[in-house]
Amino acid sequence: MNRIYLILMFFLGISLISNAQTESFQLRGKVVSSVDGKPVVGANISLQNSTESAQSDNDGVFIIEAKIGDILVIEQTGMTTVEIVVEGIGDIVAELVTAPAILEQTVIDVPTVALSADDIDSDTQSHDISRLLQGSRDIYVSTAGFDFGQARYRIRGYDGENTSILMNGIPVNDMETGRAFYSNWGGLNDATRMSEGYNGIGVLRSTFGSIGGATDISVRASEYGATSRASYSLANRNYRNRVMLTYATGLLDNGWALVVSGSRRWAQEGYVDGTFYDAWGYFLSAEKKFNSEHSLGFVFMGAPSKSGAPGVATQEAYDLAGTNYYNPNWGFQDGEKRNARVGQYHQPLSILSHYWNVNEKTKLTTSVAYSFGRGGRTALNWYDSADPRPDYYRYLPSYYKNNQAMADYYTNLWQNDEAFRQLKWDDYYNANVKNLFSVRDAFGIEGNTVTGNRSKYMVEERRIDHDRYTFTTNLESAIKENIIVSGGASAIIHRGYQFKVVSDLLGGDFWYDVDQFAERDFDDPNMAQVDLNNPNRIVYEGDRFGYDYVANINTYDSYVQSEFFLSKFDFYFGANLSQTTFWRTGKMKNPRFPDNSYGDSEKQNFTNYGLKGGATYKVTGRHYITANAAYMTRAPYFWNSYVAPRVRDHIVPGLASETIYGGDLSYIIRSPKVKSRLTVFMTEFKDQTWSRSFYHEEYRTFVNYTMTGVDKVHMGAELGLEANITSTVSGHIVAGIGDYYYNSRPMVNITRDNDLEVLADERMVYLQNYKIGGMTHTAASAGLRYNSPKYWFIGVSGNYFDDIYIDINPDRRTYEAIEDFVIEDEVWKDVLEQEKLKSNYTFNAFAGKSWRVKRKYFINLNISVNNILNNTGFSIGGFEQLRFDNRDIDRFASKYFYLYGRSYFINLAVRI
Amino acid sequence: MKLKQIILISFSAFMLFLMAGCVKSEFDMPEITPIPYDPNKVITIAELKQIDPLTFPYKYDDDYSLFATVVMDDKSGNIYKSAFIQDATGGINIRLFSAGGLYQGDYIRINLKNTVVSQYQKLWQIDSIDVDKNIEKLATWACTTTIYGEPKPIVEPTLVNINTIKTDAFQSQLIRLDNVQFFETEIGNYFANPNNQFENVNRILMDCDWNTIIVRTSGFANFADKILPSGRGSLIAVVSRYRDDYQLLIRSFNEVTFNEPRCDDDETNIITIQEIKDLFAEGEVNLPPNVIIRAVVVSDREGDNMSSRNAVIMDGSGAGITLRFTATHNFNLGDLIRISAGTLPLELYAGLLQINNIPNGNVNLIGPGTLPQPVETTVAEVIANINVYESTLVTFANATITGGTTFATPGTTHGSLTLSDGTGTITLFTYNWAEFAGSTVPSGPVTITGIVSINNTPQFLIRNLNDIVE
Repeated sequence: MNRIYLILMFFLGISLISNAQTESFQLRGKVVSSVDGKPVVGANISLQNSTESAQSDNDGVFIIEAKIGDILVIEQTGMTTVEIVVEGIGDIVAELVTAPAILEQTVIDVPTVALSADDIDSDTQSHDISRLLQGSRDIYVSTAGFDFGQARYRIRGYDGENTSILMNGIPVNDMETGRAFYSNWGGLNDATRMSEGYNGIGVLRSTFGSIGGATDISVRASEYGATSRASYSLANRNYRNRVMLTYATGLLDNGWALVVSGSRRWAQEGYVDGTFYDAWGYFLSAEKKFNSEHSLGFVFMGAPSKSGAPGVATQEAYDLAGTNYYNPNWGFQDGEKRNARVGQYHQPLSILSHYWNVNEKTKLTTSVAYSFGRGGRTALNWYDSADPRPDYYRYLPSYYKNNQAMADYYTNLWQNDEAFRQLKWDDYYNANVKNLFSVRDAFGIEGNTVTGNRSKYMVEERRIDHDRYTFTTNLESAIKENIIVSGGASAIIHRGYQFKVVSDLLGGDFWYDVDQFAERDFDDPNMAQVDLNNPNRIVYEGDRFGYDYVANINTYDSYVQSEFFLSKFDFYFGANLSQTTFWRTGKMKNPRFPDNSYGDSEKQNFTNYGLKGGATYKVTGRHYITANAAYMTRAPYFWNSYVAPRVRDHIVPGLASETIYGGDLSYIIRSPKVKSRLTVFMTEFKDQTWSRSFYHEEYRTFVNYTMTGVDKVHMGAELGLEANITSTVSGHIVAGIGDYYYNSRPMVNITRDNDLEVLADERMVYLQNYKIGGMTHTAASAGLRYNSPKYWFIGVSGNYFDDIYIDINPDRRTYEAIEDFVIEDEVWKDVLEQEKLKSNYTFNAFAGKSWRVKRKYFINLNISVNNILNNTGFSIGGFEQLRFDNRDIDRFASKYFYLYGRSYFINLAVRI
Repeated sequence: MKLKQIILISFSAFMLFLMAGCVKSEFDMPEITPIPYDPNKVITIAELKQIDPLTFPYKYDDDYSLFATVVMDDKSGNIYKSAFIQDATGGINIRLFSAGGLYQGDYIRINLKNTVVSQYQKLWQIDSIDVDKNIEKLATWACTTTIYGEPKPIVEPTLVNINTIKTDAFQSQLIRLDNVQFFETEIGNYFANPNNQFENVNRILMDCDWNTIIVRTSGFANFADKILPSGRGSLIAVVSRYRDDYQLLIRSFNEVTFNEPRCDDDETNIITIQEIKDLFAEGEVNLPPNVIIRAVVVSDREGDNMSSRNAVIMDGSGAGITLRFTATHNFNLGDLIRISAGTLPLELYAGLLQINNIPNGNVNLIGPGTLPQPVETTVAEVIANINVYESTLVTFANATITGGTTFATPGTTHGSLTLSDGTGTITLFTYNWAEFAGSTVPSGPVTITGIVSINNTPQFLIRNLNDIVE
């Protein structure tokens, strides 16, 4: 089989930015498909380590300002990125090789396993960034995506709210939590492949960005090359099958461009028992170029998905079940596996954009977007009945410390009876159909007695729906030949609807909506009501109940940046100013907080700003030193700002914006044989807020736990090295060392969930110097890859992970937690120490081959296998439970996540 | 794009989507297992209580059924993982594997298979009941017929009195008491201890005949932090038992309606000790019928300087009298007691006025009382007015004790020492069994408090060593 080479020719031509500098000139080139010689339209051409960029036009031609020694990077969807060193001023022909589709073959839709204690009970979607990172050109960043992603590695230890993700300039991070949910365009890999951005601190012209970086995914129809593509994948991870179809017209002569894409991913059972996956994706992007100045584009996309969640458990449960992937969230119903935690999301996004080339130096892009949709996750709820969770601490042998016979009895059941250690759906139905109950004064109507089977067990769905209107406008202008100014403004009006509905009554006739805990604590039946405006409600499938409020968040942002390109230096500055307003609108009047639950709450206003700057010193054409620094303030997120938003609108005392500042310094080598980056960085977060609710063992009730004044330090170093050892063999070494820890002693307030009683006021948490847990701080990878001239390739990598700390429970690091003990007590250490997990390593491998059929069809087959040695004992993180008994820490033991064992992804793609 | 290509692509798209598998995520209702019922194996609570206690714990191996009404559930928090049920033949306590699921007024059928019958400290119970697997609900409080269309039996609280409860005839049944009130010394307390949820607290309930019974409340009850009502009235409760103590468990605060004035508020039969002495002086040898004495015990049972069947009391009239019981008593220094003293004899014993032959059951301990201040006086004054001061507390200043080194000879001889305060002398008497009998007598002047008594001649009895201040 002939390897198909694309031929790219460089031509000298008119540059977009006039006035060449002494050494630079306008380099002209052409990007052509080697198959049929047709031009590749819309290929992205840029210079490494510069913000110069260009795109190939309808003839495949481009012009870019370059100097001898610059490295040209040419990228196109579906093709490998090619890098060429500029060695002369003459036209250059470059060859774009058909991509072995590395980017798609290891796209991992990360499991919805929670990252921390709060996530395990939250109903938010997956927000892991790894898929996005894999597309990066930076060897460190892309390795972090491929090889470290499965271990939940986070670059620089940042949470998702520190990276800004945009789609065509529209910010898509969730407003309430700040995190971006990549599952919103899950399965639309083909359509969302083109992006630009940076990690850490840098410049992206369409937004100011955050401390962790910014990425703008381009979904503009005219930027896609004409292509038709179909692929089928086989895997054994969250889903087992995937089909993707994409058709793009490219920019047609009549000025239209159209892209449609669809996908389907499914599995009856994924890698983890009891998980299913059922997802679709659809994408439409259309653009009409009226003339060389104006163009109008429209995008509509969505990714409805439904999946059963895996779970997380204590090591005791894993050992008893015989597997580190034991999932307590499913059980047998009539012999079939049914998962209780089903996530169902569909949040379509529509964008209308106006692209205006004001003049040859200035572009103005204005977009309006509307996103809406539903998000939700089901959970079991129960009333006046035994706790159905199979791994409830009282169903484990460790509960029977003083009763060996019972401990043995439970051990035997756990080890030998699979149905025992999972949910018992049949039992719930049996209980519900027999639970005759009469409700007094139903719906608040005196004398209205309703009799029926009241569900003892039911499935509820906790919903987070939303409506969001976004407006952005952004301007880029080359005001001088070596100065580019960009800036813009955006407005986001977001309404998040938080409520829950009855999803399945499991055989019962109704669910009676009362607050179980208030019912227990107060003898006045009014106090047990959920909504005084609708007392004594009986609810049926589909009804809202329990809680119902709206998170109203309005954000207005403006920014300005300017970049300077000099011979030895490039540098940039940027500033932004934003205004955030949020408030809660309650739809239910809570009897325990009658004046603070129904209707609009007080508006919280925050004005925030940011400053950043950076410089690159070009030691030679191949060696660079880069330094960046940023200082910004950020408004608190809605979900951290309210003490108990489901029930009342009281604000966390001492709520304030957080402050973030940091910097990094890098040494970069770019040569044909070696690309390398060595970076040291340091970032501080100050005055973060932390707000959770959980059952407190000491107070024997649900509490709201709010912590303010949390400071964190993230510092470390990153090394990425990629070398072309021979013409066919390349290798990489990547290492990241991080030290992420808490840097303050925050104050905590604990209030009883059912009333205003303050259980603890300004209690100090001795959090200082504890490591930020739940993730690995140190990761390293080394790999080799062989590219055969006969159109196939193979590669392996070995990865090492260390410094993995458990996410700690702040309440255990207070004076009250240890006041009954002295330092010599064993228990002292048990309560205070932070567990560090064992270091571990994995091996990954990948291979692929491509064929060309009939000179126009390209077929690619890619296989990747992760964790070849099937290491199923690698715990990649965990968390301490918030409920704890200081006399017996193991009573509510920590819960751990494990890396999947050997897993594969096989992809077959056909492209025209 | 050529037409042919468009068709090819659309066709492939169609085929691929057709191939795309289905994922099942909807479920059918599973089969419901009815709770076994054998109409030939139905027993009542009384029949169940025929089980021989020697076979405890008795486990049912077969599908026996028991029909009953739930008279107390755990919603108030006063009981936990438990309920009380009652049928026409009696009541019984049941213990559940997990809390909740049964409600007051439910008419249920329990399949007894795998349940265990025993007595817990004399309270009959059926243990190991799984509400979902053992119990079928036939009707709720609101229904008049069962789900099978039969009429539902009605269970109402039975009107009883405290004494009949103590015959164990109403164990685990729903009862009502009229004309009851909480003990005077309980008034002002809460049903349980608001500072400690883990404490179960007993409060004493009484009727107007001074029969008493315990009302027991768990710290987790939703009325645990309510103040005990202070009046008299009706109370609905379930009868429980712990060994020989009968305990009433209240279901809800509004079943305690104490709106009438207390029994003892209109106690018109109280007689003062001064009135008793006056009557005796007039020649009466028996107390009038139906009289009640309320007085504080001024003798010290622990100091033991008295016969174990005697006590000395004083009341608000300032007078005191000695009591002689028919059996050893257990009243302590400072106890406020109430004596049903009607027709009891008044006698002189060696010159000391006593109420004699008091049946111990005639006396109720009300609670801690206030000790009267001893009168400061002189020996001469006491001797001159011995019948006024007898059986009362006095204090002599500057007194010296002579006649011995110890108060008595323990176990052998009673001690008669001489007490002198400069105005006169009086015998200081100590029984040889007194707790302080062998203690050394102080030399030098002391301030001494004690009870004035008579043994043909005036005597002075201290209660314990705290009565002497040097």
